[in-house]
Amino acid sequence: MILSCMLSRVLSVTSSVKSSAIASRKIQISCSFLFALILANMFCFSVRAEESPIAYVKVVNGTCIAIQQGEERPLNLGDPLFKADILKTSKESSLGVSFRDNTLISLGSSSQLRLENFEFDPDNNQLAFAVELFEGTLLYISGLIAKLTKKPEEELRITTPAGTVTVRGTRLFINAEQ
Amino acid sequence: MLDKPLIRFLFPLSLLLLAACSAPRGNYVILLAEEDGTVGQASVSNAQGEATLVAANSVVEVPRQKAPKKARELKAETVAKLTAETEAAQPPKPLNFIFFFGFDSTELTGDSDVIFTRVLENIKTRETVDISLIGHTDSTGSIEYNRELGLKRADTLRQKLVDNGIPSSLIDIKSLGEDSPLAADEGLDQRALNRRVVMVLR
Repeated sequence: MILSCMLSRVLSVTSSVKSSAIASRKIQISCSFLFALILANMFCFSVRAEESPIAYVKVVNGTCIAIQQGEERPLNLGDPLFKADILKTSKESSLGVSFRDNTLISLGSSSQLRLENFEFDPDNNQLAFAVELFEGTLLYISGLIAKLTKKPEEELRITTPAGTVTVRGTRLFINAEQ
Repeated sequence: MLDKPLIRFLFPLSLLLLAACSAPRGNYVILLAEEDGTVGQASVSNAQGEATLVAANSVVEVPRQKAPKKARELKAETVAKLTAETEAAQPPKPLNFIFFFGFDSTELTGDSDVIFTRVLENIKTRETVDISLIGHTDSTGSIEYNRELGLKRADTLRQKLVDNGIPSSLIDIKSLGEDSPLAADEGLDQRALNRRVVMVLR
């Protein structure tokens, strides 16, 4: 959808160029292409901002960041978190996060966790919780997704470098080394 | 002096005992009891095999490129030490509050002020909050009408929270209409229980 919208923007801008003088056409096309790129960028940004948060930061000790599509942002108390965020804690730092289904997680120091997938729409049977712990420590306390899911193997997954952890409504501590 | 066969027997045994008590290393998963004492279940699997955890404070270690080891139990002190840092960073427990409404009404019932005061007190004890509001109705009226009514009820509380300084962006509202009754939808008292909004404070 985003792609098609971008494409239509590019097309509409380039077609308006047709009426202009041929001599300056090349420059205009490259300019309009640039303009279209900027527009597309702005559009992507607004999509990002409108996407609803899947979780919020509830506890921050020390320095913690989130990385989304290569872009880093420092994490502060109350910050929203989104699908595909990678959470990173520094040395002597820790982070507490609660998800919209009441799942609670906390990360110890020097940890790295990717919020792979999260869907919480029980009335449409859309449930998913998937995180990947690359390194460090994770304390997980299950929420409503663990209670409501009928397919825990598919819908509830914690991946670590050593293997996959499947959960049936519980509290877990995981240590991962790369 | 101990004779050789006995040493031969005792030495591996003591090693085994030591291993059983020692803290886990590398990649591992520990199953913990929940706050109410219940213990769930978890399993760890990779290409080489699978191991299941059923007892509180039991651990499954996963050696590099090998199958997960069988679960073994750890001492409570060992577990407490390992989990101390993450326990300290655990977010506060989500709290549920239920608000009731009159028949076909988006007005809160009289006793809801007391509950709302409790909500505000709890918000004060937290450094940051986000809130879910889920509206419900009884089964009188059409499904579509009740979806809408549930949403209006949730919105009544959203407005009340906003009036008390909670940013609207931190409030997530939805309606389940008549789909998720608290009580069997028979008789006046039970129907009244289904006309509600559940507020989750995180």
